[in-house]
Formats: sequence, structure tokens, C-alpha cells
Amino acid sequence: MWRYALRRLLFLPLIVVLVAVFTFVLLRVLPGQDPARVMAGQGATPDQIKEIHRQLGLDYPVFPVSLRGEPPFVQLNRHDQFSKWLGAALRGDFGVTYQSQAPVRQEFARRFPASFELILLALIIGSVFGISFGILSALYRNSVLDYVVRVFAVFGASVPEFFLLTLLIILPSYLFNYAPPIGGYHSLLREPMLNLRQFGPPALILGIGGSAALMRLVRTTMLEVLRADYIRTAQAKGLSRPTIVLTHAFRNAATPIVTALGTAFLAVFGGSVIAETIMSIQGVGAFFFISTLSRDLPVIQFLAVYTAVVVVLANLIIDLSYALIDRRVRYS
Amino acid sequence: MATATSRQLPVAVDAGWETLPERPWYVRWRRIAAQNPLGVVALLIVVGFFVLGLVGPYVAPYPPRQLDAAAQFLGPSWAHPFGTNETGNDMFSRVLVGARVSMTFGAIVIVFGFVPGALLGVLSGYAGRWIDYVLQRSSEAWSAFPQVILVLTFLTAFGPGLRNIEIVTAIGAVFGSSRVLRAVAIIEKQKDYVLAAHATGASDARIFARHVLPNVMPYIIVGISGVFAAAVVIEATLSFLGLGLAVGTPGWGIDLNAAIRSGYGQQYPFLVLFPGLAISLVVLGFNLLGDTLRDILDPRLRGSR
Amino acid sequence: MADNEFGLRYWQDGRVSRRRLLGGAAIGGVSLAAIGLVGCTRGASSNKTPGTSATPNGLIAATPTDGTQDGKPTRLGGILRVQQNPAWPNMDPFGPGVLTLVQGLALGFTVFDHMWYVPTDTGVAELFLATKLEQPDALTLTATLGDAVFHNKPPVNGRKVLASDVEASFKRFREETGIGYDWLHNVMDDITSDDQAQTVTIKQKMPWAWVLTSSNAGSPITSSILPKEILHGYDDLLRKDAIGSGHWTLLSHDNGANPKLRKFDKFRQFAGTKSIAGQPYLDGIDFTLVTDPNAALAAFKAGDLDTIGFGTKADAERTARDLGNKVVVGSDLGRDFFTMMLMYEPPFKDDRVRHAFNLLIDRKEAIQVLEQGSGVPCGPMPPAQRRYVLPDSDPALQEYFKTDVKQAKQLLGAAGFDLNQSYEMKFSNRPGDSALANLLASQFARGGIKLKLTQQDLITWLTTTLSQSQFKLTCFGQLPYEDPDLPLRFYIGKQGYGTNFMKYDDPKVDDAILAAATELNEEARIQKVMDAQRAVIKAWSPMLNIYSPIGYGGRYAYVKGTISGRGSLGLFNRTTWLDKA
Repeated sequence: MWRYALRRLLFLPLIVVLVAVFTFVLLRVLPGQDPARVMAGQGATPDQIKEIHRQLGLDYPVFPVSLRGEPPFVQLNRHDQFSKWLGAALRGDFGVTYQSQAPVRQEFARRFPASFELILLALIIGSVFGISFGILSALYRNSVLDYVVRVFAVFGASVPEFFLLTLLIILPSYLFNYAPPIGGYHSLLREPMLNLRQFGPPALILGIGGSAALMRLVRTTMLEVLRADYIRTAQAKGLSRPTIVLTHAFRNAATPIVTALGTAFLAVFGGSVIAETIMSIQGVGAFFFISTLSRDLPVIQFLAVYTAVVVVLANLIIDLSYALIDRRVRYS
Repeated sequence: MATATSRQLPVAVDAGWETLPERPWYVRWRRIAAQNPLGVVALLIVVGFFVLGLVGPYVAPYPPRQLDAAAQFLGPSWAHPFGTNETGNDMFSRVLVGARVSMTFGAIVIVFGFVPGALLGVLSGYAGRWIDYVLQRSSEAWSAFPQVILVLTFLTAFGPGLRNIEIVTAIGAVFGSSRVLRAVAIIEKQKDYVLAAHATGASDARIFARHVLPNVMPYIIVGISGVFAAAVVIEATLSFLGLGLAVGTPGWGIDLNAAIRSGYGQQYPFLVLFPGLAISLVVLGFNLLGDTLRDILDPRLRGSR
Repeated sequence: MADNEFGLRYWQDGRVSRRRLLGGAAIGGVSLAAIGLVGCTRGASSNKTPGTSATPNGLIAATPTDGTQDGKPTRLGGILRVQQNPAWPNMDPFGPGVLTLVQGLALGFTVFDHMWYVPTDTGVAELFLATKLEQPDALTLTATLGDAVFHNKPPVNGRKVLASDVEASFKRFREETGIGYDWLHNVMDDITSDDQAQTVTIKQKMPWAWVLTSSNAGSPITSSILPKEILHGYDDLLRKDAIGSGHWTLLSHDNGANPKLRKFDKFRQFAGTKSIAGQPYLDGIDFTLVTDPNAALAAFKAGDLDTIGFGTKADAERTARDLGNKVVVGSDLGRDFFTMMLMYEPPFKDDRVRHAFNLLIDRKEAIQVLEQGSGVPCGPMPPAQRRYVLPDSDPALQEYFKTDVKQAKQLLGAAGFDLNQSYEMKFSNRPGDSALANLLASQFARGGIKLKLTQQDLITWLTTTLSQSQFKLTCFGQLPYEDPDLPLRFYIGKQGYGTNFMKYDDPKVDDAILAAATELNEEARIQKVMDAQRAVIKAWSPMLNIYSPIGYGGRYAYVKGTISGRGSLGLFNRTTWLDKA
């Protein structure tokens, strides 16, 4: 299994390079908005734009190989943007942002804790909520609880997150004159109350929004498992109900649940972009959003690679946990 | 979701669609409807919004952009059930007319994204080989990434605007629908009746049109429901973030955006509430419809995703 | 932090921009609140008047106060807590580009010193570092500097401020471009200095009467004095820290967020010839980055901020009601104004067409709809320029403010204006701009004119549509320009004098505006500015101004010694003190 994990990890650099190539094509080859225009601002002359291009290195060819309209149709470029970026990236240098002129890595590191906490909190809330109510709903099938859970699962999946987040901004302010604490990121360790006031509500919305799907899945899976023969056997053996549910049933239901958790993670990860933007949280997601608006290419490139790494690792963890949960699964 | 009826669900339905064509269609549907009251409600919601998308501008009590400084910020009343905004526009009319934006967007994504994707998926599942491989790998890559991040990256390259959002969402729908339909097609391909038809010497095209497609149809509808709902949310979200429609255009996402960004939403929450509820209701309709169909197709998965 | 910063953030910018941005910390006389959008928003620091409670139509800006109205401070020290929004991208006052305005202004009012500043109420330069200002002839300006030292940070280490620092700083700013840099490029011929005599001499290419004002040699950004040794080759230092000789030193900041300013102990004890011993009275100012206006309001109400800029009049009134006489809530007419531009090309080249468009604009309705009545109609000169604006009773201005659909239709008919076609109006997605575009479309529709509304993202609109004159029609909110010079310069067609986006070129209008700009006699200049406004109206020049909004701000009553009604002069405030333990 560890060999398998290692092999998957060996693919990571390849995927990173592919994603980088893709973003380069998307952002630099295709005729899009010129970031130099954004930076130069009002009334910039073509010469100034050119100068900014030169400073940013945007005047070089994008890739080491470029196409030409005449034979031999391809041409090799001695200096190009991609190799330069890749070379620096291998040394851990992702350039400086266009906007603040600070190293991308440093800007990222500063925002990472907020995003990490938001995503983690949302994931914990979502999975606790989703799994526990899913199990309860399956156990007490067709009870009031089951009914409530199922209605919630459908409605919860239907109300868009951005709408809930918007309500979260306006309703407390309208009803109670309440607003989240000010002053940027409050550390969980040093200022736990402020931190929770800041992250609790958006995490709750992100998490519960994601839990709707999870809840339904847990419920169905549990229902199926509970019907299975080995549960009946266990019951016949006279094992207590909690033991059956937690050891036998849940263990067997765990594989699809892990898959669903993986999906939920990606949903929360993407959702954090919107949540951070709406809730004015200075995290990686909001950083991504603002950078797309200002066409801050170094940031977008770095964050695309970061996203790829997160996605690949998340999938790997999911695959590995199948093997941990269910010994019948073997990777080679 | 047929909540209360799950226990007495007849086995006949469980046996699949093949057994059903023997009865007249209306008998079949009446039965299904009776067993799935929520599904009927969902269908009514969805159809209702489609109708609204068509006739909204004609049934709206006021012109949605009519400037009326005297009617500023009126709370909900009989004259203005959803209140009025800062320009004195009747919000009820705006929500009715706004249905056109969302429903058109969804329809465009279905036509230019889902349908080609579905055909591609069926083809790839049916034909296999390299088409299948390429399609599978690209759609895996696409769906591995969080959609918001993908869409935003694309919009950075192409610039904001409704047209570009349509394109990106449609690309996503191509991958989404091809994946689902491919799986369905592979299953169908191996079913007995296809093999039997092959044995009788029927051509591939004929088998596809006469046998495979009808069987795949319900899955297509389930898929459409899901993609449509997702498309409505994407348009609303991006318009809300200021990347889609222009302010002033009657649309749910952009009306929410206007209410929040101007700060009026904080003072007059009804400006936020009604467009948001409209979005939620459409999405709910499609979700419920998809669920119901899924239940009918595969009762074993009742209530699951 | 790079997210909220330069107002590129549509989202944030939007939610904040409806006057909330302005406010920020205004009342404390330290509003670095903000620039909504760099280049062309309402935005920069507008000064709120701590007068009585909000006047219904607050047409009149409150009586200027200079910080002495609260008497001698009975308590020294203390830290003033104000809102920061947006964060400063970095500390470099030289750019790049669109970013400069945020930190350039913020630091210009605090950390960097200047030779003088011209407040809006008097129009007369108040001396800062300069102890003497002479204009031996119309082209020459000589300033004699008093003794001052820089902040004690390496590599400058608290050395004396030299005349050559001023020269080097001006020249360094001239390497940049942007709004407010026109004078450096087009009017200033040369700047020289003499470190022995501590004199700085500015030579101009032409007599320019506005030379001392804030969009010229007295700009809060480009007249900032920096130590000459760090102007080149210290990019990293400039981005991270600010070294000046102003009354505040930059103590710390979290990558542009939550900056803390502290009293500069060795700050010059004079302003021109006056003594300002003991100033600033406060120990410092702490900024807290708050991008959500509700959060800011809640923080103010909870006592976590000492001052606030309100988003709406309703917020101001509610706060005044809730907190009673614990707070002082006031209003002030903004120097910013909303405007629309028509490209000076057929069919808008015809005066009658532009006149007709103006007749269709209902300014009262616009103020009601867009500002809930909190605004004042704006002619060619923003009404906040009280010394220079045409009186409301002036026939020309009355003609400008007239709304008459019938006459407009007649004029359009006479001009042969094609009503079957629709005309494209481009505007940015800032909420103020898009709301205005929608409103104008409705008003023009009354005259049978069809507009095609095209919303663009802010950057595209600013850098392409506006700057490169790629529009037929456009509308937006202008920045709050401090002096009467810039608002008129938009009309000048002559190369090198103005920022004319409309390709407008009317020699009569040019002459009228330049006559005012080159008139050195104050009284005569005021008359010529008024004549220029009449000329603009008479020609129906293609920038049709619509209205100026009224801003609302508040401060706790214990915040004393604030300066108000004097334009951005209040932002240099050194006299604020806190009357609380």
C-alpha cells in the first residue's frame, strides 16, 4: 500500500507541470486581459505598458517551443516565461504578486491559516452533522427525526450557499445590530472567542450546506447495511444495538461515506472562495478571487498549482483510507 | 422524494422500466404520480418556472425597470408583494421577469453542454476505445477541481460576462453529462435485449435509437435536472459576485448583488429575500424532480444521491 | 493585505462604496479611509463635519473648524482608533500605477511632511515645513524651509531634512504618471534647491495660478518629502516601511493592514511661522482593517472605534438616536460628483443634442433615487468648492439644472437626432456607476432616446473605455478633487493641459478655463472661474455633471480638537485629543 502511495505521489510533479502548462496557455497564450493595463492604470502610454511588460518578463515567448507560420514551423526559444517560472518554482520561488510586490509564497502563507481553519471547521461540522444525523435517521426510519432530516437534506442542498451567506451578513445586522469582530484574523489559540465568532457562522453554513448530501448518503448506506445478513446474524448473536451500529454496520458503510467526505471536502474547498469573499475573511480563497479580478498572474498560477496538489493529495488520502477501512481492498 | 410512501412501494416498479411499456402511458404516469406526490410538486415548480421564463415579462404587473422615485423602498404590500427597490422598481415584477435569465441560462447550458455531452457519453460508452479514454481522462481532470476555481480561472482568461459564463458552464456540463451517460450506456450495452437485438441482425444505429435511447432517457432527465439546477446556481453566484449580468437587468443573482453592494439590503431585507427564495425554489424543484426520478428508476437508492 | 486593497476588489469595493468608504475615520480628522477605486471614484478622504446632528438636506457644509474650537487639550496622549479600508497594498508612494493613491494619500497625510497645503475653505496656502513662500514672478516659486529631521530609521537615521530632499522627491514623483501628476509633467519646468540657504525653487513653463493647490505642486501625494538616499534602489525598503519627517512615524503594519502610527517626538515645532509646540497631542493612531461596513458600524457602536463614516443617512440617524449625546454625528457635502460624458463626435458633436441630453437629466430625481435625497445638484464646478462655484441664482446654472422633456424633444428633432437607433452607454460595475447608468437610461427614455447599457469590469472600463476614450457615452462618480482646477481641466481640449476623455475641443471653453488658471490675482481669478463655468454651460460641453452626494460621519464626543470643513487639511490633523481617561 505504501508503495502504491509513493507511486501516486511520484505522479504529483507531472500533474503540477500539466496544471502549470494549462494555466500558462489559459492566461498567457490566449488573448485575454493584459495585466500590465491593470497595473499601469489610467492614462498609461503604450511605452509605459511595454515597460511594465519588460519588468514582468511578459515580453518573452511563453513556452520554450513556439509555432511559426513558416518552415520549419517550430522555433526554439532560448528564454521563455514558462521555463523561467518552472525553474524558480522548483527552488520554491513563485515570484512576487503584481499588486503588493511581495513574494507570492509569503502572501499565501499569511492567508493560509484563515482558510485552513475555515475549511477544517466546515468539514468537521459538516461530517459530524451529516454522519450522525444520517445514522440516526436510518436507525429511526420514518420517525419524525427521519422526516426532518430528509426534508432538510433536500432543502439544504437547494438553497445556494451564497444566499445563505448573504443572509448571514444582513439578518444579524438588521435584527440585532450584530457584526462579526473586526481586525483581521484572530488566532484560535490567542483569542478563541473572537476567532469563533469570526469563523463559526461561515463554517456552519459551508459545513451544513455540504452535509445535506452526506446525510442522505449515510442514511441510504446505513439502511442497506442494516438490512444485510451479517447484521441479522449479529443481532441473533445478541450483540447490543450500539455495538452493532458502530462496529458492524458503520464500518461496512464507511467506504461510500469516505467517498462522500472527499466530495464534501472539494465542495467546501471551492466554497471557501465564495464564503471568504462574501464574509471578508482574508484567506486563500478571497486571495484567489481578488487575484483573478486584478489578473495577478503569478498568484493565479501558484494557486492553480496549490489547488492541484490539494486535490491530488485529497484523492490519495481517500483511496488509502479505503484500504485502511476495508482490509479487502489492496493496492499494488 | 416520496417520503411517506416508501414502505408500500410496489415491486413492479422495482423490476425496472422494461416491464412498464405494456400499459398505456397515462396509466403508468398516473400511478407514478400518485406514488410520488412530491415529485408532482417538483414537476409543477419546474414547469411553472419554465412558463414564467416564457411569459414572465407579459404577466409582470409593472415594467421591471420603470423608474419611479415616488415609490422608493416600499415594503411588501398588496400593490407590491415583494416591495420596491431604490429606483421604485416593483420587486415582484423583477423576480417574475428574472426567471427568464435563469431559465434561459439553464436551457443554453443544457442545449450546448449537456446534450452534446450526453451524446458523447453514450457514444463513448457504446463505442469505447480511444474516444472513451480521452473523454474519461479529461472529464476526470475537470471534475477533480473545485468548479468555482475552474470557472474563475477561465473567466480571468476570457473576461467576465454572461456569455463567457455560459461557455464555461457548458463545458462543465459536457463533462458531467458524458460521465453519467457513459456509465449508463455501458450497462445498457450488456443488457440482454441489446444482445438479443444484435443476434437478430439489427444495426447498431437501430439498436441505439430503438432500444438504448428509450432506456437511457430517464437517466438523461435525472442528469438534466442536476445540471440545470447547478447552472442556475452558477449564474446567480457569478452575477452576485459581479462577474455576470449588468446591474439593473432583472435577474435574481444580480438583484441580490445590487441589494447587498448598495447597502440597501441591510436596511430592507426583502430586497435580498425574494430573489434568493426564487433561486432556491427553482433549484429545489429540479433537485426534487431528479430525486423522484431516481427513486423510480432505482428504488434501492431511495433518498440517496 | 492584497485582497481588499486597492479597490480593485469589486465585491468589497462595491459593498463599501456607497459613501461608506469615504467615511472611514473622517471625523477624527484622520480619514485615510480611502480610496474606493483608484482613479475615479468618490473615494478619497472626505471630511465629515462634526456639527450638530445631520441636517435634512445638509446643503451647507458646516462652519470650518480648525481644531481650536475645543480649547486647549486638557489631556495629552492616548491612541485614536480608526477604521482602515481598504488595506494599503504596500508602503511605496511611487506606485506602481493604480495602487499609488491608497498608500500615497494615507502616508502623505501622516508620515510624510509637505512644504504647505491649501485648504478648500480659504484657498490660501497654509505653510508647513516652508517658513516662507515667495513668487518673484509668475513663473517662479521659492520656498524657504525651516529646520526638521527625518524619522530615526536606517539608513536615514534622523538626519536633517534638506532642500535637496524636496527637489529629489519632486523629481522622483515626476517619473510616475497618474491623476494629479499633470502639473509635474506639463507645467513644472524644473525644480532646484540650495542646501545652504535651504531654499527650493520651482520654475514653471507657464504662469499657473493653481500651482500651490492639491492637484498641482501641493498634492498630498506628490509633494511628499522623502529622504533622497532611498528614492532609488531601495524598492524593498519603500514597500515595507515609510520614512518621512511627518508628525507620525509608521510603527508597524501587518502587510498593509492594521497600521499603527506613533507620535514623532522630533517633529518640527512650527508650521510656517506659527508655533505648534506639543503637537501632535495624541500618542498615536491605530488603524483596524474593517472591510464590512456593518462590522465597522457595530464596532463603532460597541466603542471599538472612535470614529466612523456612515454608509447612509439612515445609519447616521439611527446611530445618533441610539447613542444620544455620547456621539457627535454630522454631515458634509462631498467634493466628489457624479457625471456623464458624451464623446465629442457625431451625433453628440451637435450642441443641441448635448443640450437636449442635459434637459432630460432630472438631477433632483437622481439625488432622490440614488442618494435618498442626500445630495446637491452639481454644475461644471462641484458645489463643495464654495469659493468658486456659481451661485444657484446664476441664470447660467439655472439653465443647466433645468429639466424639460418637451424642449429636449424639440432640440433633438431640430438636430435630426436619430431616435430609432440605440446608443451605447458604457459604465463600470461599481454599484454607484451602474445605478447611475440605469437611472440615466430611464430619464433619457422620456425623450425617446434608447440607450444600450454595457457594464464593464472596473479595470477594463478605467484603463480602456475611459482612458483611451473608447466610448460614446459613459457615466461615473468622480474623485473628490480638492481644488477647483481639476474639475475644469476635464473640459480642456488643448494638448498637455487637461485630461480630456471626450475628445472635446472648444477654443472658447479652453480660453475661459486657461484664463482663470493663469490669473494670479485671487479676486479676478474667482470671477474668471465663474466665467469659465458659464462658458462650459453655454457650449453644453460634453461632460454633464449631475450631483454631489452628502456624506455622514460620526465620532465619540470625547474625540476633540478635530478639523472640519477645510477639505483634506483636516487629515493632517495634529490637534485631535481624547477627553477621556
